Amino acid sequence: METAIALRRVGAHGQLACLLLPPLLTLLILFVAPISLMAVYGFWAIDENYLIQPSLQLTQYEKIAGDPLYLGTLASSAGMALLTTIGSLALALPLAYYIVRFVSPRWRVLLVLALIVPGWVSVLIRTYSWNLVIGEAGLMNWLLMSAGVIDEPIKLLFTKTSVVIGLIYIYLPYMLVPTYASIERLDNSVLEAAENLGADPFRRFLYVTLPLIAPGIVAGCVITFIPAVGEYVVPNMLGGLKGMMYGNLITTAFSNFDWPFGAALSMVLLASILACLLIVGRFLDVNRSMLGHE
Amino acid sequence: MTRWVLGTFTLLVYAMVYLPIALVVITSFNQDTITTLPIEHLDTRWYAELFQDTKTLQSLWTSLQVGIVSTTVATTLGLLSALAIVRHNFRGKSLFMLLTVMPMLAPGIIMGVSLLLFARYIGFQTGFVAVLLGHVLLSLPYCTFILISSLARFDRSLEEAARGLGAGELSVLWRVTLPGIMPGIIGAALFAFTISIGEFVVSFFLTSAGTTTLPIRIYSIVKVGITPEINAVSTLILVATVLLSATALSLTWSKRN
Repeated sequence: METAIALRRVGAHGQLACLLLPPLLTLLILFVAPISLMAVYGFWAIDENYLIQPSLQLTQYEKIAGDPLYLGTLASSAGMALLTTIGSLALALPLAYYIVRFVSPRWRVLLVLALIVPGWVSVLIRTYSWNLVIGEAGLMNWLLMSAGVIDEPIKLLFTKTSVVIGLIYIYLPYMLVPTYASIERLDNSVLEAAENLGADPFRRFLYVTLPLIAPGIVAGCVITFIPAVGEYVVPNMLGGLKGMMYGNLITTAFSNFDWPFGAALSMVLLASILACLLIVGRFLDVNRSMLGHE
Repeated sequence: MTRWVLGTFTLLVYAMVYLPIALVVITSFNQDTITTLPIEHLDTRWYAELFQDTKTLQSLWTSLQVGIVSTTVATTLGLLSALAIVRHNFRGKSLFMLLTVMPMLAPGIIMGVSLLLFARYIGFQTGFVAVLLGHVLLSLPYCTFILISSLARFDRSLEEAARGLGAGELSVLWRVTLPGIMPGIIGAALFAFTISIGEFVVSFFLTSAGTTTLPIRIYSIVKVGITPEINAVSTLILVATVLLSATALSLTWSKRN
């Protein structure tokens, strides 16, 4: 009761402060401060006794730029994440279109949920489950061998392909949700107008549908690509040496106790992601002004 | 024509999503020591072995503890955030919302390593509390956004009525607002719990010898060699996750209709 009176006395400003401060402090302490510290750490170094030497030097970044392993792996991770993004878009787009176009509204949400709920099962378990499908003793090889298509099991596991398959599997729900939402919002009368004006299905898709659902597609691509570039569990469990990704390098630096180097590697990843976001944002702005939207 | 092509395609995607999960469940009942196909004898041997495995059971207990505490903290913080965002206008509001989404966008590994650096720098012991705080950070954005949509739909005239009848601010919050958005609160909590139970990367960096969560335990077993016991654990987690998410969904859903 006393708190209630006290609360009323401090008024709206105090109320807002009471609401805002705990989550704000949490985000500042658990997110902003650690990331900022990591940015500083990247300029530090360790001596031969693995003691941290606070300094302001670019040794770590020079090391990253000097060895093609690091930027090469970053580039191949970006390539794999791009394949993942394209792959999951190729799966999500026709699927979302089918659900919106041919399924009654009652069943639509249920069908979409049926693809999202498995996505809430631990990444570790879902990744591991692909061992049972594409592993040497897995379902795929067993089926192909008992059908007599192949004599030797296909060694698909521990390659880049197996990592991309795993990534598509993990990130499909991320792509599906925004794509589905944008297709569902599509106004059918616009499409009919295009049809009446003589546009064939291909042109209709390219000039009418695509620009309208583009924001959903871009959102899906962004939230798929970003976590996929930095993925650690999937390449670690399905990748082996051939399918290594940038996340594995970061972990290796940290398990070698070379924290400044790990921090610098992480900052390079963060900066690349930020650059991608800025480019996508810029591209969208240009696109919008050209199409005359908004 | 288009309809059948698309329909078949859709069916194949569903098969791709459910096949690996189904294989985990099926092979967990395989009697053989090596996870191979075809399955010759079905039984519950691996479930029996699982319940003898004290290390795995201990890690399940740790996961549950971390999950329950981090869920409570994240849901409470998310509720405060949502109340501030939905009901107040303040300078820097869009910045605050951006800050809230950020942990959802950054790769997990970045948050894992930066939290590890920070913990060591300020002399904070990694282990139970560190893992728990990491999970709070990961689930906070989801809790906040679920509760924002829940609060935005809540009819505020009920609060006015309660105030008119002489209820104080806290009593309005406790007796009117919170019960009104209860489905959203439970939904957010179940979401946070689901994240915490399955989380691996952040826990991997913040864990200590004494705090092994279930995913870390599973990882260490898988790294040494896959035993069918893993399929049994995974099946149990799978069933629990699906039940939890179904409950969370039906609760948030009934509110919407």
